[in-house]
Amino acid sequence: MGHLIKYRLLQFLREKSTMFWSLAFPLILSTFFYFSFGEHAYDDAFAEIPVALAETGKAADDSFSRVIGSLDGSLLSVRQTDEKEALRLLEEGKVEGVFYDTEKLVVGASGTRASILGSVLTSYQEQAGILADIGREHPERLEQAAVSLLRQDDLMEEGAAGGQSLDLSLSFFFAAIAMAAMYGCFPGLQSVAETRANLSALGARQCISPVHRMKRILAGSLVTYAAEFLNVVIVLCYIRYVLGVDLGGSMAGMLVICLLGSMTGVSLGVIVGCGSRKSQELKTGILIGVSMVSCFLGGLMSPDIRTMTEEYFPLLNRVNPATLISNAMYCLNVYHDRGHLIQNLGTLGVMSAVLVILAFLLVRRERYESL
Amino acid sequence: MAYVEIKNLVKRYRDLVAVDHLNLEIEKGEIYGLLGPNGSGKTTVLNCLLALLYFDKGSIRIDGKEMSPDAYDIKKKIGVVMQNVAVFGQLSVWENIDYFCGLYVEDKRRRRELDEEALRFTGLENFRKKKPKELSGGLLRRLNIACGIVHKPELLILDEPTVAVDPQSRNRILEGIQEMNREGTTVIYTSHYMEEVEQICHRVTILDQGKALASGTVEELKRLINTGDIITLEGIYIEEEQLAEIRLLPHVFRADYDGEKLTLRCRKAKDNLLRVLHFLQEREIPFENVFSQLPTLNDVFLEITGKELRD
Repeated sequence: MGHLIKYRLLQFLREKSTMFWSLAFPLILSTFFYFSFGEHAYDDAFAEIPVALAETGKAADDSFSRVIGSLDGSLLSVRQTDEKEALRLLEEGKVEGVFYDTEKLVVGASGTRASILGSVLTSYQEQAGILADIGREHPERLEQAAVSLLRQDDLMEEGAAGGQSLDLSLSFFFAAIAMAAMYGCFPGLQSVAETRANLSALGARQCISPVHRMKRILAGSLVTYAAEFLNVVIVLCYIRYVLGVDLGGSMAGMLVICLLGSMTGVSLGVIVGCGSRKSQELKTGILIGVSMVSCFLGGLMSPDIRTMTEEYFPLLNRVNPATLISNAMYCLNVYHDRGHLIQNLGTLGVMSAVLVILAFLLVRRERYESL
Repeated sequence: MAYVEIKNLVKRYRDLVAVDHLNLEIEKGEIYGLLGPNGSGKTTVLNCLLALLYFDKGSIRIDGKEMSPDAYDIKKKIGVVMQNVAVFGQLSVWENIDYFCGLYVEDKRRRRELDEEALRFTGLENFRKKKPKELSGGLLRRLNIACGIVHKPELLILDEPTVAVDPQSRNRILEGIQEMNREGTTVIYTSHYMEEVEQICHRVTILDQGKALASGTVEELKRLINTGDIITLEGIYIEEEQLAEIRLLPHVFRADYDGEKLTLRCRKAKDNLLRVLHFLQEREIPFENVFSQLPTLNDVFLEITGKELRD
């Protein structure tokens, strides 16, 4: 068994086209995404932003200070202090912005995190303005308006769970990881061609050998599935640790998604490989087409595609492996939506299990009608 | 009991009968040739023998046991050199040989010895680190053979191993097969090159359209046919009437003339050549060269099937 695994692994690692599509290309694409969206755009995107809340004593009420204070520990890390101390902290780089109780903001540098601070202030001012207007003109509807604003927040969250991205740039990285998993179809295709006597001389040659066919299939499958999983993990780690993109969630959960994703990708290749006796080139072409369409619908080119598909062909998003993989990552990392995460993982799990079983049944044949 | 026994084998591809009630008995230690043109069913017979193909009728036994996909104990004794080169492009020459050896031999030390022996046997010692794509056609065929023989099989099956091979490599391959046979390996050799079969095979079966037309030693096959001598005269110019007269000569049963070369096929008889020369002298017909040959397997095939082996 060790002998079979050793040589199958060597073949896998030395197969340049397979390694390019399932490893090098996703790495290149991730790097391209990283530089396209700005080198530091993802640094600690999910970490709390340190800010100072300067008490000037000139504010009409403490409502703004209370709102900023309520964000402490979730979005912000707030240090309440006087104006002079706040500015000193900003100058020393210990905080990234200073909120004044008079609804003003001073930031140290421009960037994603400064934009987030700006949007916190804008959002507060817009909502406070709306409530103030309603309070002035229709005081009897003030309570209803407040409830309505709260509900609007809920609706936005639900929309996100259905496919809308909160941080659009992250969706590209999730799509790139999904693509790496989908490209497991190429090593899957290659492995099956070398297993079945009716697909290649090598397949026939191996069928003639005295090694039990289950042992051969098992060794080949183990290496292909494991090596492809490793490829996806390398892409994931490259994005997280080399590019420094904060994916924002648990790595263990990401590994589970990558495992199911890569299993689905490899099995897809095996199914196409076993499905007919057409040429290897044609099958490669079919797999390129299928994986590209799947990744496209999964949001590789634009997250809007995924949203549009959700709107017009929701069923497609429920069965497209690339969409399921990136949705699962979103649920895990962005929305923390356990229900949708389990749903996506479940579909992916069932899909990969069905494909693996089907692939296994197809490759275990003993004799053929013709070669 | 024969070492390899094929009884009444029938294999159909839909309406096409690829192997038609074939019977073969191959004794241990012989080199057995399956001779036939492309499409005659040689490879199909081997694929049935190796339990790769379903067949419609018949039975196949090797070393007294029924051959089946699960007959791993039989498969362990068999070495196969496929018609199409079956090696891994990503592995080096040495790794390919070691991989295939490892399918049969578990002991690492023994495997290393066998790998080295196969490298030497096929003359690939200086190419051990090369990848298959870096090898010439002849070297690639030799690698294919090395992968098939590395575990020193009891039964070696070679399916047209010399196709597209240069003469030097071909001779080396044929000598190698004979050497293995001398060491005790039983060989089944398919080819459509009659010279090769004639050179190395102890017994031959001629196949055409899935049927065994004749079996026996090369000499036995030659005795089966009427052809005794084949007399060829070059640089000869004769009239149609003279050609008709030649055709009437005793023992001449076929005469082909292309304007300058005359080929006469004669039945087995004494002094065929003398009789022809005497006739030409009498008619004062000049010619440049004359030579007489004994029949070849190609003549056997021609006479049995009415067509050339390589048609």
